[in-house]
Parts: sequence; C-alpha cells; structure tokens
Amino acid sequence: MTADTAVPEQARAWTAPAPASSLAPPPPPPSAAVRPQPTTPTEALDELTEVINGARGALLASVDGFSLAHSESMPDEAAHAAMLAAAMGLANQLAVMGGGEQLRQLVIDHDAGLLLIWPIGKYRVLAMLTDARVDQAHLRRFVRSRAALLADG
Amino acid sequence: MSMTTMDQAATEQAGADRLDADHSSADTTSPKMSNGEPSTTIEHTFKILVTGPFAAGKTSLIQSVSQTDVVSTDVLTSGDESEVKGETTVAMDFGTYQLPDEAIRLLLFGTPGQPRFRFMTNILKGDVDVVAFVINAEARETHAAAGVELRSLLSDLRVPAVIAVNRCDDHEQAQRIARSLGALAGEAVIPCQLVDESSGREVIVEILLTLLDSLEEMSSESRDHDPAEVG
Repeated sequence: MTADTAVPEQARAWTAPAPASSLAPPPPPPSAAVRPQPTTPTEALDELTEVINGARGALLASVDGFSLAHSESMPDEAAHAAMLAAAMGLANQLAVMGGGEQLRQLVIDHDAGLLLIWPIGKYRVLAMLTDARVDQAHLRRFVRSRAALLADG
Repeated sequence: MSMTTMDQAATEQAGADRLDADHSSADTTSPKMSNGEPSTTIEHTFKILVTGPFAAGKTSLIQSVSQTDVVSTDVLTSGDESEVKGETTVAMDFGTYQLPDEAIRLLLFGTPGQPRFRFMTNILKGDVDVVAFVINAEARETHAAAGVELRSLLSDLRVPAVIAVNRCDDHEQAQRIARSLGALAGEAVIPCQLVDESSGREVIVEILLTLLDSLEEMSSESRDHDPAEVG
C-alpha cells in the first residue's frame, strides 16, 4: 500500500506531498541548518511543514480574518483565515474569563490530529495542522525562531 | 512571542481522555442563559440577533445599551477596511438589557458584518426571537447586498425584524432606505444615531414593541387553533 492510498480522501488535501517514488531511498530529513534561511512568510511556512515531523500544513492570517500566506500543503480557502480570526477572538475572551490577560496558544484536539494556533505579534495569527504526536516543544521553538519574519514579512 | 508551557504529555493525556460529557444535569429550560446573575426574577428571556453590514453600527448598538460588560471580539482592521474604521468584530458581541422592574431580559448577540464571517451568523442565528438589522444610511454602497442578506435571513428564520437605520434622523429617509432593502410594510423601521446611548435605547424599545406584537400574534393564533373552542 502506498502512502497515498493510506490517506483518507478528506485528509489528503491537508497532507504534504508524498515522495516521488516509494522505491527511491528516502531523502535525509531536512534540517534548518542545511536549508537556506526563509526570506518570506510563505517560505517559512513551507519550511515549518517540512522540518517538523508530523506537521501537515500552516496558515498565516491577519487578526481580522485575511489569509496572508500558507504552506504548499495547505489549501487556500478564504474561510479558513476568517475562522481562525473568529476562534482567536473568542479564545481571547475565554482567556479573560479564566482570569488571564494574554492568550498564548489555542489547541483544537480532534480525531485526526491537532490544530495549533498562536498569536504572532499584535496583528497576525499562525495555525498549524499536525499529527497528534507532533513534538510540540520542538514546534514551538521553531515557530519562535521564525516569529519575527512571520510577524513582519 | 510567548508560548504555552503545557507539555506534550499533558496534551496527549487530554486527547486520550476525551471527555464524553454527561448532559443529563444540564438545565435546558428557560431562561436560556444566566450570564452569571441570579435568574430567579427573570421570567422571559429573548434572543436578539444584531446583524447587518460591516461598519453599520452593530457593536455600537450593543455597547450603548448593554447593562452588563459587553463580550467583544474586536480586533484591528487591515487593508481597505482600515480606511473605514480601526477595529472590527471577528466573532461576536454579546450584551444584555433588562427592563427595570420587569421580568424580561434581552440577550443581544452581535455578528461580524463582512461576508467572510458569515459562518458566525449561521452559528448565532439559532433560536432567535427578533432580528435587529442595522444599516448605515450614509454607506449606500452597502445597501444592495444588505437587502439580499436581510431578506434571505428573514425568510430563513421567520421571525420579526427591526430595521435600525443608523446615522439618520429622518423617519421618511429611514423608511425609504428600509424599503430599498426589501423591508415589508409591517416591519419596524427606526432612524437612529447609535453613538448616542439614548438612541440605542430607542432601538431597544422598538425591539420590545416588536416582541410584544409577535407574542400577541402567537397568542391570537393559539386561541384560533384551540380545540376546546371548536364546535
């Protein structure tokens, strides 16, 4: 069974492209050290989904619901950015309800994995689709290292 | 950027322990929502959907009349919208209004105005008693799309509507604008200046009158169909 057929139809659109041939030796895992530094948010999102094991797609949106950039593996649907903005808007209020002042992360834990959402500066929101067992600490460190580019690029 | 300290193990545990909520203790009877306040004196709670185009005055209406802290999801605007106003609602506004010495409370649910947030209107419109449709009289370029949205919403919900024509002081002009939106003859139309608290209260009064009319109509229909009165 190829990786392609193993992926349910609905989830396939959210999955990074499979290697060109399953017979070819697997390429070495990409690492930030050997990749050129991203210079645009789109490059940074592609890098995130390639470097982080278990990351399936990334979307950068404005806090008012416009799509700004997305990884190659993420479909470009306008409603996604709006839903992220709405979710973050409500989550900010829920944080206040919980006695907090600053929302740090929103996690949607569902049967097909995780949707992790972070505020990026004051004006942007980053969402990542991942497998359930993604190394979140590693992911957060990586996102933090690209936060300036994602916030201003 | 600051990140959460929640570790992965805790997340996985949370995932493994998915909660199958027991709803058996949930009180589904009225009032619809307590909002953390004593509800023993509240006999009637009505849900009002405050909707309309971007920058019409929906948030201003709720903020001007709410007697409880408004739950607001305003964020900074970007692009062309930032030239219209500095902040916009991205999920919902929520406020309440209770009549003094009366056991009636209105729950005001405000929607975002932009079409990209239409899914929020679809979420919020359930079980609505009255639609308060806010339109900016001066933003004529929004009227055509607003009319389509208004008629579509009302044909779907089949509830009465109050058309609040903001930035307008003239009843005749307000009526003309409402008619251009496709408002029906029986639908309430009120000119208002929603930056003004008293003007917001006038809209609330119109909503209450519309509710009363609606309740009387339902009561009358109920009597007409009462089997005890048949033959």
